[in-house]
Amino acid sequence: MVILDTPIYLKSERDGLVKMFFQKIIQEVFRQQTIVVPPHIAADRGNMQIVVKENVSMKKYLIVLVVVLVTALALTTLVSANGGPHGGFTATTDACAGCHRTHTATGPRLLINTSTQALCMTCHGSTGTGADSNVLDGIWLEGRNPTDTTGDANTTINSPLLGGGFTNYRGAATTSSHSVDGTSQAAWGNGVARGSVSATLVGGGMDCASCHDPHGSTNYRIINTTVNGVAVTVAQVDEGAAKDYDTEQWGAGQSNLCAACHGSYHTTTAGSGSDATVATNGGYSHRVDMSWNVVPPASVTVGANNPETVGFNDGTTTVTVPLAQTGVVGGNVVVCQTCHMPHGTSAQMTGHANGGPGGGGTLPGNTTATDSALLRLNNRAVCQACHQKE
Amino acid sequence: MSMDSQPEENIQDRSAQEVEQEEKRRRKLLLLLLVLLLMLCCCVVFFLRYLLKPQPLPELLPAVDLNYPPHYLYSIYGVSQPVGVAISPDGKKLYVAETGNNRLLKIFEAESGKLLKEFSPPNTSSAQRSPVYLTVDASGRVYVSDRLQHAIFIYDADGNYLDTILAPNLTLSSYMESQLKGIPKGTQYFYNSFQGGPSYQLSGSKDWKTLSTPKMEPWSPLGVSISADGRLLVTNVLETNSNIIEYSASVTSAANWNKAPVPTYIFGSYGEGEGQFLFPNDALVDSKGRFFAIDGNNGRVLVWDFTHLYQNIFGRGTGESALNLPRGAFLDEKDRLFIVDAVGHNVKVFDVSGDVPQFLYAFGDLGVDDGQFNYPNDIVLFGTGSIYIADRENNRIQVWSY
Repeated sequence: MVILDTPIYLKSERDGLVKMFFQKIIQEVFRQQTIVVPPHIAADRGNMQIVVKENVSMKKYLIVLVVVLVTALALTTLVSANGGPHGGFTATTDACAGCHRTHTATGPRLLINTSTQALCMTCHGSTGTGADSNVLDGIWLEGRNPTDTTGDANTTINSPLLGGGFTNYRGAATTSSHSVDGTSQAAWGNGVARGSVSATLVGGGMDCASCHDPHGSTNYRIINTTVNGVAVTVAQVDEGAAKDYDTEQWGAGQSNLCAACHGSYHTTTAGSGSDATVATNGGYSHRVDMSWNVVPPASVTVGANNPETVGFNDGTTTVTVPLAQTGVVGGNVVVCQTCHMPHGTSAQMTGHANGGPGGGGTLPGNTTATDSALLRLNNRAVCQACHQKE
Repeated sequence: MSMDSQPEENIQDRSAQEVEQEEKRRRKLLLLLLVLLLMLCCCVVFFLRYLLKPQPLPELLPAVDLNYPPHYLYSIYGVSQPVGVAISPDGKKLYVAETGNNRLLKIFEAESGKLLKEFSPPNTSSAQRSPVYLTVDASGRVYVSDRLQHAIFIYDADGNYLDTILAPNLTLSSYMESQLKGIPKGTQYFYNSFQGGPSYQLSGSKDWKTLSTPKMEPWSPLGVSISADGRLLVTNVLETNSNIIEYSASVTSAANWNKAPVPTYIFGSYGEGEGQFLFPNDALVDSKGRFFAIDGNNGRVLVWDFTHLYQNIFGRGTGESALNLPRGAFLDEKDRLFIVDAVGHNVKVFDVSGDVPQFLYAFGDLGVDDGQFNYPNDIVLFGTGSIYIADRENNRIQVWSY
């Protein structure tokens, strides 16, 4: 049955509009379809000549409906390697216009706004109006789907993000964080010598897009394949459709991301912590990208416990650090993010660990008394997680 | 019939015709006078009403079809990255949720923009709360979704804390009621999800006691709205179980929530297909009882009929009517749907009163000047006159009017 809502005008010699019901006549016109004409649109003007302004055909409606549905489904296919709207674009996507303007852009990269950060925070801010990864508070707002058995499947609601937060972390204000407001940044270790600092990065100011590619990437967590002009490859392992944001799923190459700007800290040579020859580069440096229990020099002691799964316990507190995966759950590689958080941390620095002004030290990068240099844990707990000094 | 009588009859006829014409003229005059008198009365009544209740004229005028864009009036400052707005039933108080600075809720005098009060969920730090969307019930109580607390906080019209909806079928007061076997008068209590179980303090006692954490069905409330008939609608953006939760009007008319509310209907699901959504930022009910879900990340609007039967989608595509990242929305009494497009930096208005939604117009564009938006996030209308829009990155509430 069709309810006809298109006006039908009937000419009549009589004056005025007379409400009538012409079901049988209409049935003839529409090939025996049962059509109900609402009385308010069926009007008689006398000579009963029917002028149908618009024909109605169920077949036409169905064809149009199918075309619309197919088009809509094609347009809404936005799944990407990292979920959400970051990729999976179709040939006729409308998504470009969401962030870019071809001729009237006000920001770099043809962005509709000068602030990349503001654009990203529209979804990834504390309101979580478009994503569960709240990077301001360093919180994953979602629980892990219990039916998804891939990965570690241990994420619970409001788990701390592995990368930390820019404003808060673990319910407290950050004590250090990367600045992503688009301004030019000085990067320690961005030079030949480890103590040097570069005032500018390739591409100008630093923002979210300096490290992440909003269009999707083959790297873990849509990390750019080129950062600060340096090629970066970060493998993603052991993760299914549902993301695991509080447990590391890094594969090989995670240190490459940090090294793109802090390259002179990227020390991978065995014994570099005690090798006098590297001192010419500005000082000795802790090695990364090696197994946590690699046979150390005689002068170095590493604890017996896996720092990721067991860590160090002083009788009251247990500290652990994440290691990079090597293709299986329970990785063993020490990377930059084992000790540092790329977004920001609320770790507290006191005593000898407080190297900034007011703390008496002059550690590179420490600019305030509470600067924590992006360290993952309070004071030097990151050292204890591996070296386990009683 | 004599010849003499004919002129007399003619005279009588003419006289009768003149009398009749005169009568007609008098009737017309009388009718005209009555109409003029009626108009005068209307003017006097309207003038007296305006004197007794001075308000902007648009708020006094009856609702009419206004299918043309509104114009910018002024802005209310003193907010940091506002994301949610709501208005009291009398239109005097404007409630704002801000996500910058200390993430407070603020009450402004709607007309003057004067700050009346600041408040927040009890015993929470700024890092432990994130108020987003608000709605106000018929008695003026304010319901606020909090993304970090995964709850809906309820306050009275002055911002005093009343209760918390902790889960789809659990309020804090109902949990306290069950644990304490009745809540003694004067008992204070709160629940901060970052601090373990609910805490309470009995009247006259200095000690705070803590209860075990209640077993709660996981949810992530985001959009909140109350329909004209008092139903409460909540969009649950939990990816593993995203849906729209509908409560009967008994929830918004209740004196308290000591008895746990029970959803009357739950519909929709997480995804990109028909009847599915990705981060629905709002759900609204029109005058016909149809449901409209603002499907944020799919950039569209989903429609269900009054029986919760899924109907169709609109708003996705190309052109001026295409939605980018739709966020907060408002349905006025004429069934015009106002949708804030966060990255379109404007408000798109659809007439949804018919079977097929019609795009009417969009207003606003990107910028920092008057009438320009910088990531707007929510909207509320009072009557047909004033429109309040949370202009997030411009740190203000814009006021528009017809």
